Amino acid sequence: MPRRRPRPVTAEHPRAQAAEVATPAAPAAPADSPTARASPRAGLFDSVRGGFRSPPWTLAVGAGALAAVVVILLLTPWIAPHDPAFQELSQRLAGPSGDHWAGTDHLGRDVLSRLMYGGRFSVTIAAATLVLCAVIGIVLGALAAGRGGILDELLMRGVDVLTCFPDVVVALFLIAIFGTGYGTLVAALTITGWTPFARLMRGLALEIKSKEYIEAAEVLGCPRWFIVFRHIVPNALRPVLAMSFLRFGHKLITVGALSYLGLGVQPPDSDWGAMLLDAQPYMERLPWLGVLPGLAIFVTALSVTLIGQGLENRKLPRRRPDAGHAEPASAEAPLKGAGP
Amino acid sequence: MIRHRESATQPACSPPSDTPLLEIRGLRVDFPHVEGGPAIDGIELTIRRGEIVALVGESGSGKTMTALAVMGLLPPEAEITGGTATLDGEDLFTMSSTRRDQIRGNKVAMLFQQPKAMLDPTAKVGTQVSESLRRHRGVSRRDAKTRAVELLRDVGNPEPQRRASSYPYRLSGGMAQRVMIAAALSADPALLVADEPTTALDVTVQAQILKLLQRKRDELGLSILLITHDLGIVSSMADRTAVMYAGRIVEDGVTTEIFTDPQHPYTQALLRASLLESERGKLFAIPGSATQARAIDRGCRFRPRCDTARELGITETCGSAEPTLHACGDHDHHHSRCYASRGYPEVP
Repeated sequence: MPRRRPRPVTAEHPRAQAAEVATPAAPAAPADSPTARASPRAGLFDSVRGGFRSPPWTLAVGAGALAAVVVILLLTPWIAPHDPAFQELSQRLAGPSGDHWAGTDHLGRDVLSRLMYGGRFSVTIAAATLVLCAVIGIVLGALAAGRGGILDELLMRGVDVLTCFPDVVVALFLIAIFGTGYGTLVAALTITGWTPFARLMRGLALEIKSKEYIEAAEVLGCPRWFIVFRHIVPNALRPVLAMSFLRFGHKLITVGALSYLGLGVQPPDSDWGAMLLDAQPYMERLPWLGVLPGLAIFVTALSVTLIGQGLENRKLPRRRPDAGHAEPASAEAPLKGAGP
Repeated sequence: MIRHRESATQPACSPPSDTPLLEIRGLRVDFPHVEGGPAIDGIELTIRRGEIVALVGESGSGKTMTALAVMGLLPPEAEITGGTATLDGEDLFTMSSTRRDQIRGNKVAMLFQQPKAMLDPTAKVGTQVSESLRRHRGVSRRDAKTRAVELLRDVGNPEPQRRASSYPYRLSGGMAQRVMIAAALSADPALLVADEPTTALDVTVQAQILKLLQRKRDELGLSILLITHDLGIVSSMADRTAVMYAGRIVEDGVTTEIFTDPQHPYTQALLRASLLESERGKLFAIPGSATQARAIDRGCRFRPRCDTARELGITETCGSAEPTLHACGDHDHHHSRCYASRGYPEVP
């Protein structure tokens, strides 16, 4: 690695200092020499070298935030202060008060209650889409890698074509043909959303296919489909899972975008995207009408993304670098006296 | 663990019968896109029931390719260009892939060099041990679990119950190879192809694994094709030995005879190069390597490295035509592919 211009470590770079302390591999230099204080190995490029490792708390924070969101959404029918559809026209566009913590919208509906009920739609649709995308992507990706040949070629070129179009545009096109509705919404987002899973799964499967334990399974007489789904898919699941979490935020935002365009969740139901649409005319006078649903989307998407990042950065827990010493020698010992 | 003490001293507990189990006739394996001649060139090998046959030779001599050809696991670049291999009368090269799946694990199983890499890190040890049983014997999930524990105990696992429900990363190399043996033998195959099963293990563990294999042979009447370059293992394990050089078998015969009375100069050199025969502190090495020798299309392939030919002054004869694999003496259990070895039909 070429040595970079030394940068003085000052109080503004606490991370640089921390990284230097945390890197035992850093060459030891005399403490009073200038290189020791301003090691080019620590600092700005640290994250690049380490492959953007996120801090260890990402997983916990993400999981905590998501758990809070999920609990609130699950308990909504019991804890929501008002009926989300009840219009109190005399109270239109009221500011936050004791009765309406987040105020009311242009039809006098309680914003907090609508936020809670709307979140149920947003999150459910995003989650359903994601699961479908992941399952279809895993199966097709594994098949492409497992069978190879013409099937692989066809599937992957199909993926290429689908990837060319922005997914909102494809979804708009499908909704324009089949009309609005939850089924169409989920279907449209699934059709555009499975491709990254298939690509990832195919790549992983091709790598895993060359592993020795796949050969061992073949030798035991396992048919190919069995090897694909029993040995290849489970070994690829961890990265796929991490990606699912990373894609969830994207799905949530896409659902919101479609609703914002008026093609997602239809009245009287409503989700965060639709609330944004409703809030648009009042953005200048009553900014919280738009900020709150936007914030809800942001927090939920961020929490799930943090979980994904945390998972991705975690080392495989079932493998240890020194696994050769994992078994104490005593396991072999009882046999030593067995032979003549 | 119960073990028959006498079994090691009397390896012929179940004497090898005369019916051939595996018959390889004139096998040729080629890498069409790689220069340097076929990887395997006309191999003849017969394994009878209950017999341990060792295939020895240095790296690149084609031992592993032979095993992979038998298992139907040759890499896609390789091509079988001639010969047949029959297992129990069934042609291994022409059978359908469905039939091959039925045979693998059920009639023929394989052990590999790196046991730890052969276990799926995401599946429990017990599941993997009983995979073959579930496939070939239709054993239920629950029965498979108890069978897996039995199998693990049988291969000398001190805590089979706990081991079965743990993941492979906990296994040592020796224990992983035991697990692989349990998995390979679970469906009671007739032939076990062991491709350097102990190369990656340390010496004490190596001895235990070999003893386990011998015990299994005695108990089950198993035939073993043992591929190794360790002559010590060969002398203690194998009933018969075939020595491979550059894709050809240069000498085969009963193991004791190969070791006490080697006829081919390559075998003689191999024995001299092994620690068994070497003088203290001075290890003999055969100059040159076997890989280029495949490209030699006329004459004996060992000729460039052969001292015997030089001493006898027959290098030209050796270069003009390759000697055939002929019987050494009037009995039919020792063959050699050399003009200089005993009993060559027309000594030049």
